[in-house]
Order: sequence, then structure tokens, then C-alpha cells
Amino acid sequence: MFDYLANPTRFRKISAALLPVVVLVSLIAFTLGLYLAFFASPADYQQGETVRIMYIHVPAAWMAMLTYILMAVAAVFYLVWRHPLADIGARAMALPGAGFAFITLLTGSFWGRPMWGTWWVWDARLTSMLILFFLYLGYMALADGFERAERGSKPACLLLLVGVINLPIIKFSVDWWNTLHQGSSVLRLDGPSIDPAMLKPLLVMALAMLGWFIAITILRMSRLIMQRRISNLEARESWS
Amino acid sequence: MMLVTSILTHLPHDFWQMTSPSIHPSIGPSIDLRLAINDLAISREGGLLIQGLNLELKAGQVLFLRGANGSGKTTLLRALAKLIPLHHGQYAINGVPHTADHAALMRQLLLVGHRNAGVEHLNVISSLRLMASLMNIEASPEKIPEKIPEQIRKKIMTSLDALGIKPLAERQISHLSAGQQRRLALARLMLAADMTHRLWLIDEPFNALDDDAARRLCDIITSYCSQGGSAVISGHGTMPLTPDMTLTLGTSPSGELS
Amino acid sequence: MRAILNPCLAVIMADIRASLRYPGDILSGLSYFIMMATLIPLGLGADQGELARIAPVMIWIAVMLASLPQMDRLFSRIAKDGVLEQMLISPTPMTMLMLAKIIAAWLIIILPLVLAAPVIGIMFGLALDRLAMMLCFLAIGGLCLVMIGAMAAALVLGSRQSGVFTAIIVLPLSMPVLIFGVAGISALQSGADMAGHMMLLGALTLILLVLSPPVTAAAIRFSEE
Repeated sequence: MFDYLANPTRFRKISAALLPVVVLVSLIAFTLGLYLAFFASPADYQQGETVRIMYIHVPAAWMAMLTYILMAVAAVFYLVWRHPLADIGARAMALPGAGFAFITLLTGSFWGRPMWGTWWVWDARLTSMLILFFLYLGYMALADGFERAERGSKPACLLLLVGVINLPIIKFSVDWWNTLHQGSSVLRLDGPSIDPAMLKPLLVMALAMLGWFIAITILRMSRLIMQRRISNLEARESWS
Repeated sequence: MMLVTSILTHLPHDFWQMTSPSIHPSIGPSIDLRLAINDLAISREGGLLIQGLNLELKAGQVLFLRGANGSGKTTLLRALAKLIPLHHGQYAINGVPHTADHAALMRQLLLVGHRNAGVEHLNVISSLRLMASLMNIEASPEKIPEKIPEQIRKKIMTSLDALGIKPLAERQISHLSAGQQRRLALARLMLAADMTHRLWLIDEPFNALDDDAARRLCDIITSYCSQGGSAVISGHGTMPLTPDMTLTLGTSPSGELS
Repeated sequence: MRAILNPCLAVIMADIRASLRYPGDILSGLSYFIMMATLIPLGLGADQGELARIAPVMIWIAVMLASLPQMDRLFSRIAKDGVLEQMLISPTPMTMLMLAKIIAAWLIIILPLVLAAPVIGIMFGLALDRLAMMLCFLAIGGLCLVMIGAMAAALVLGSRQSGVFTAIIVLPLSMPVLIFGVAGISALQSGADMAGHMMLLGALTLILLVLSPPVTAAAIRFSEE
């Protein structure tokens, strides 16, 4: 499957066909999701109207984690099978991934203001997300940190693997730290059980974000492929 | 783990053929065939720098690798030391194919790159001592790692003497001149001079050397080859030594052999 | 076996000998470590109780920040001199040589800081009756920091601004070391049981021991390609 997709020309054909579909799905899901989130779902009896922030916050958090795992999978493909497309995929996903992590932190902070009375609380989940955001920053800095762009690919992919191995450890240590320093908060970012009326907009918004993520990734990948072609041509020219 | 899988999945398709001498007689184990290169290609920055290279170097022969700057001399030497992945093709040193066990292949060669590999804060002896250990040429087991075994010290002194820098033995590396540091790098060759099966890969040795050092190096190489050793030496223009073979890179895709 | 052990010992000895040539460097690292800790009471006020409470964090952060610049230099010089190239073409596995490098770095960078830590402890009014255990925590956590630092230093080899990059790679990854380490020393202070903390830190060390040398070796190989 991967070999089939790894051919850049074929990738371009498939992605060109896929792009409008994904954009359309994403747009429809966003419209529907926002409608459900703001008009067709009840306010929480405890959190009131602020619960609607969750419909952005939670899917973004899911996407931030999913994206990092996808990047690590791409890194394995790149390091083992040396497919340049896998490296390009990881690079393309990094920015939207960091964006999701940032949106999660931002909306978490918006939610925390009325709920906790402060913009930032060292909640275990928020702290883990902050560290995930740092890991994204580290990857992006390393991938683009070399004079020749391709030189950064292998170290950056290696860093992704180290990061994905460390992620559960970091998550565990932060959770552990949190229980050590403060009792578990009464108001968790998502309740233990969730009403179906709230679950529906959550899933629709997640679909919307997934579609948007795929579209952005495809666009960024095509751009990176073009850039790489140009730099390869320049390198070849400088020899002759 | 990752790398193991990577290596396993990335054996060239004809790896098994290569190790069987009936299909590739030229790459079969042989005592007097030091280096055998078969249809080698190396890519650099998206293009092929070297391609379709075929070569056989017998015991006692010197190969001169000639070419302009950027023609791929260093790249080829480093690829033969497995520092740069091959794009295509295969090679074997003393019949040990490049896909063989890392240690087995590394025991067949010795590389003096354009960097001198002197540890700046150490003195000449300590630095060479580290290199001797890395090259695995320490014979005797040592009790106290602090002390340099007599055998190794003697070897180091002989090497330094051969390159005319014996008086500098206690001098710190960072206090040496560029030419002296180059001599120190070449002294590494002498450390293993009695292991004539090791293929010497020397990158532009004559560049920073004065006449005296160049003459000494010529003597070292000549005597090594007379005992059955072989060397690949890169440079541009001419070499103060008559090579058995010259490979000119950069003229045509595969280079020109004469 | 000897073909692996001897070169590793030689690498450790060479590093120690090179660092002993300039003992002033170790000393200035130590001064930096202690000066950093001096700044805090000046800013926070001299309340002993308050200081003792934040002392474990202070010591850990001082260890992290004082070791970081040295970690960053772990490979840059020997890469430029071509020593790493010779390590890569050694018959001895690069992973083993990197393990030796990590041990040497621990001896040179971390050990002096660990030995100087009681000074900070006294300045911050820490109870020193369980000093040996505290040094143990610092030593093991310091090994974790060195292993993370070695990976980062190898990954950034040849990049445009290695110092900043090393920091942004090292700091998120060393979060668990900080958490377990601080909790351990805090537990020591309050006299609580700290076997659990020690085991968590030990588990982390084992994971890094498996992860760090091969990753460092691979990153260096990539940097020399």
C-alpha cells in the first residue's frame, strides 16, 4: 500500500482527487458541528454555556495527539524504508499538529478563566499538552535547523521516535506529579460520562478537524515536494 | 533495533549472489584481491555523483584517485569505509562484502580522512593511543587502563619516528602546527603497518605536507605495498609516487581508469 | 569482549585526561552552579522555611542548567576534528563507544555538581541527615540527564545553532527526571518513604540506558553521511 502511494507522481494524482472531497467533508462537518455545538446541544448544568468551548478543545486535543503519533509512524517509514515522501509527510504534519496543540492550550485557558477563575492551571492534562507542544517545537526546529533542508530529515525523524517513546513516560510522570501536589480537580476538562447530545457535536467537530488536517497536510506536502525538486535541480546545476 | 531492521530489509537484492563466488567470481574471497568494486553508484544531494564504477585492486598495488575539487574523491573513500550509503552496486575488501558484519569489514580497512582525528586537549601519545584502541590493534590485555602498555607505546614511538615527529610526543595536539597535525594523522597508518591486509584509504595526504614529510610518506607506502599491502590515495595533479593504477573522477560518469 | 571493553575504557580515559588538562573548566561549571542558587534567596527573601521548601527544585534546576552548556559541547569538537569519524569506522560497535562517552560525561559533568550539591543544600537550609540518599538521587537523575543530553547533542550536530536546539530538545524530555527527582528529595526532607521515587527514577534510567546509546550512535552516523 505504502509503496504504491510512495511514488510522487501517483501521490499527486491521488491527492488531487482527494483534496476537494476532504475539503467538502470538512466544510460540511464544520457547519453542522458548529450548529450542533452552539444551538442544538444543551448547556451543562455545572459549567453552563462555557461547556461549548469543549467542542473545539477536546477534538483539537485528540488531533494533537493523533498527529504526533502519525508523524512517528511516518518517521519509522522514513528511517526504515528511506521513502522521502514519509519525511515530507512528517514535516507537513508538524505545523498543523503544533497548531492543534496550541488551540487546545488556548481554549483550555479560555475555559479555565470562568471555571477556575484563572487563565492557567497546572492541570495534568494541560501540562502534558504543553509538553507535547514543546515536542512539536523541538521537531520543527531540528527539521529546519540545517543549511541543507534534507540534512535535518533523519535527526528529526529520530527525535520523533524518541519523543513518541517518551510521551507515555512524560504523561505518566505528569499525572503522578499532579496527584502528588493537588487533589484531582472536581471539574475535569471532560466529565466521566457524557450525554449523547454533547457527544454528537464532539464527534462531528472531530471529523471536521480531521478533514481540515488532511487537506492542510496534502497542500503542505505538495509544496514541500516542489521545493525539494527545485533544490535538487539547483544542486545538480551547480555541479555541471 | 530500528537500525537492525533497516539493515535487514535493505540488503541489496543480489546480496546472496554476491557472497557466492560462483556467480560473482571477482568478489569471492581472495587473498590477493584487496578491493573489488562492482557497478558502484553513489548519490549526493539528489543526483548521482559516481556511477557504474568497476575496479579491482590486487595486493601490493596503489590506486591513485585523481579528480578536481568536488569530483567525488572524498565521497568515494568515505563510501568505501561505509560512512556514506551506496546508491547501487557492491564492493568487497579482501573478499569481505560491504554488507557483511560491521566489525568484520572495518577490520579490513584504515581511513585517514581530511580531518586529522587528533583529540585537541590530549598530547600526541595519548591521542594516538586512543586511535590505536579504536582501531582494535591493542594486542596485550592491560591491567591498569591509566598506563599505556609498553608494547603500544613502542609502536606509537616507531610511528612518530617514521613521520619525523618523535620529539613532539609529549606536546599537546592543539599546540601543533597544521603540517605537524597532518603528520600525526598519517602516523596512524604506521600503527597498523604490520597488518598488511588492511586497505589504506588516504584522503589527499600530500596537500599540507612539506618535502620531508612527503618523502617519508612515500617510503611508508612503498614499504607497505612491498609487503603486500594496498592503498587508495586521492589527490589532484600528480603524486610523488608511481601508482599502479589511476582512476580519474569527474571525466565521465564512471570515471576513467588507466 | 576485550575488543569492545578496551576501546570503551580508552574513550573514558581519554575524556577524563582531556578534562583534567583544564581543571579550571570544571571549576567554572561549579561556580556557575552555585551562583545560580545564590540568586534565588536574593530574589525570594531569606525565609528559611520557604527556601527549604523550594530547595529540591532549585538543586535540580541548577543541575539541569549547569550541565546543559557542557552537554551541548559533548560532540561538536570531536566531530570537527574527525575523531567521531574514526569511532564510526572502528570495529567496536558505535553504541558501546557512545555508552562509554556517556559514562565519561557523567564523571566529568555530573559528578562534580553532585559533590557540590550539599553546599547548596546548606545554603537553603536542607536537613542533611540523609545526605547520602540525596546524592544518590542526584547521581542517578544526573545519569538520565546525560543520556538525554547525549541524544540531543548528537541530533543537533551540524545544525545552525546547536546550543538553543539542544536546550529545546533536552528540556521537555527531562521533565520526568525533574518530577521524580524533586519528589524524591522532597520526600527525603519530610522523612517520608522514598523507595517508590527511587524505583521510578531507576526505571527511567533503565529505559534511557536502552534508548540513548543506539539513538546517539545513529544520530552521529547520520551527521557524518
